[in-house]
Amino acid sequence: MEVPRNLTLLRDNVVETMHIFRLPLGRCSSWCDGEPGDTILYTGCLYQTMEIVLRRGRFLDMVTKDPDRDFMARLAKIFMSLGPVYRLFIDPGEGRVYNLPRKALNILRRLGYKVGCLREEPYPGMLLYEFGFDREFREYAARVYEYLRDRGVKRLVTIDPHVYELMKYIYPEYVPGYDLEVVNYIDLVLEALRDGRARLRNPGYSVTYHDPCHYSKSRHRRIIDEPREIIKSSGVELREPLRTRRFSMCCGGPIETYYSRLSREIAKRRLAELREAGGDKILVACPICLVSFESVGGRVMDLIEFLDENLVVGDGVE
Amino acid sequence: MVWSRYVRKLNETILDQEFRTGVERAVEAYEKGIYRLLSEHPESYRYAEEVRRIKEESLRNIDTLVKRLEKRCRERGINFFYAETREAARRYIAGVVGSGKTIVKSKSMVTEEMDLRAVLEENGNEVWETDLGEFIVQLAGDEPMHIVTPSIHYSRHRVAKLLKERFGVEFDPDDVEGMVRYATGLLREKYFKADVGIVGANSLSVEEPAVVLVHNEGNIRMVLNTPRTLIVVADIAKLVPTMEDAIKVGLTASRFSKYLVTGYYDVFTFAKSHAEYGPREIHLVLVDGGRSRLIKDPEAWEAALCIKCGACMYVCTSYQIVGGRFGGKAYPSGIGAIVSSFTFGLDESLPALYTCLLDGRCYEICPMDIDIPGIIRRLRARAMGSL
Ligand code: SF4
Repeated sequence: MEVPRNLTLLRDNVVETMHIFRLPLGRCSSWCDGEPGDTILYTGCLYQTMEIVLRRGRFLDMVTKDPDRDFMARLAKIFMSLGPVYRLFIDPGEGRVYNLPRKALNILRRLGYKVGCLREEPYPGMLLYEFGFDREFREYAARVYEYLRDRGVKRLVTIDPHVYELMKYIYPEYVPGYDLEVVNYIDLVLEALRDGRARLRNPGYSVTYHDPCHYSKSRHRRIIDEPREIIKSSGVELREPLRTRRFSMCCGGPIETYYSRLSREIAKRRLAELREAGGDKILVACPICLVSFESVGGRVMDLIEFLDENLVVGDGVE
Repeated sequence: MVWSRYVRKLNETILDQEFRTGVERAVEAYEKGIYRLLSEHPESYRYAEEVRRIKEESLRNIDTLVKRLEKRCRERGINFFYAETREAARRYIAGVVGSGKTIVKSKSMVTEEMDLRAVLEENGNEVWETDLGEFIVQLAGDEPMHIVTPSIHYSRHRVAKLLKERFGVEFDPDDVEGMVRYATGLLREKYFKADVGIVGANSLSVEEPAVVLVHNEGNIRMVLNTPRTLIVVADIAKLVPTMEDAIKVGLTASRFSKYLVTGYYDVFTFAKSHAEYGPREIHLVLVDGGRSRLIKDPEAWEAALCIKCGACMYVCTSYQIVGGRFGGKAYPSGIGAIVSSFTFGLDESLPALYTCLLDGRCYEICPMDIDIPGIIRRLRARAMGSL
């Protein structure tokens, strides 16, 4: 069986270091103040990883542009084993995307939810699952589960569609005895808005919302109306792109690792479609969508940013 | 190797503006049409549910159905051939046809899959694809890009150029009607000259052996009726118990191809009474070619429910860029990648299996509710598990 080396490279990274790019787990969570608790914000390092994809795109592209670039993947493997030198190079620091979890945590706490976090956050292994490394994923998921349980975690709050779906619906299939409760922050925010604990002020621009695939076309649970209800509650005008809701279009991100040209073409096409819808801002709810669009010249806003910007808690005086 | 070849093709296609425009136009027309059709005719979903039950039941009893069909065919003097492999099917058909013959063909994926046209031509026969889209693909020496509309990647300019190159006739590219008239005129002659007609099948009924063919151009009627020898080629997953079932399959497939009604719904029964005007000699070639393994596969069998409506292809994110370059041979996109993992092998199909974004647009539209992304992920796991 011929398998592109960039797939196995990432597999090995995850299995060996619990981080896609072999960074120390602490590099996933400098946004975390270490507040303990049995309910934690669990980001699965996804936003943080996507910051790397966004900022180190040129390097990653060399490795991943085509699945037949075995040679580059081999070189990358050697480079990655250089430890500190490599880490200095690959770590883009804490930019905008990296810091979205910090904003999310802040939003949740302002809404009165008691949410802790981990100073060292493992990657949940989505890549292993999607690429079909099932055997590795089974073992890995058990490790992650144990890791979380050992730290007293009982309930996860997730802020993106991939980690949400994986931890809520896939983990139970693979990890015997899995008993973590998994909550989506969208539900928590909506609950607070509905019962009047908070409201969103109208920023005065119109928005086009892009449904992430794993909210809109999930086999498990569809989160299509909830984000819309949140957005509309602010009074902004919500525009729908040509392909929307159940038939929204993928951003191209999932195949970025080995078919990056096709992936980019998909992103460009969808971005054009989103622009055509005419909203002043394009709103996404997934770090992969965010980075896919921004990598091809788009400027989009994450739902977390929209909330952070416009959330008013109580009578506005905190 | 497999990967390099594949990715090179993908990347070339991305840069082919004419190709992209053609695909873009087709998928947009489809998406606009289908959502309207389904909302105005929600009964289509009811048809689909019923057909899913029929097909499920048929797949469960596939061995019995095949045996029964063989018996029923023999009772009617129909030549029945069960081809375990593509190779066997090719050999049988080549034997029936011989050489020096003229053959008219309807569009059929399974014959595309086995390169039947090339084999027959090598043996010194003249083969004509009568579906206009497939005819264009044949002239160009290309591969079909969609199972319902094979030549979506050809602009009228390219078609005009092809006609000039192949037949020396000049057409204004805007004169689409003129080009169609020319092609149908040319084919009309061939029907009456043809010794052998070859058709595929939307579905095949067993109890009263019959083939259901749904089409828009009327060409299949000619292929069925004019030549003296008729060869029906179908894969085994096309079998359903009764004629009623078979008609429902055809009707549902055309609905999800976005036709409220198509030009023709043909039911051709294998009855003796054809001899006056129709074919004197009828052959039914049932092709397995890896499908019985698919049908019995606990993780992937659902893919054999496919009624080839083509909906999942039009709506597929990757397909909307690179068309049928993503998928298996003659069977584009995710569902094609799955089936070709069985018909051509997992190794060969791996690059296609990894082209899927697992985003699930296909699953949303599929009338048979096939969990295409789920099966793709499981096949990836099977391949990776064997590392
Ligand atoms: S998989 Fe479903 S949507 Fe695709 S061609 Fe088959 S029946 Fe139609």
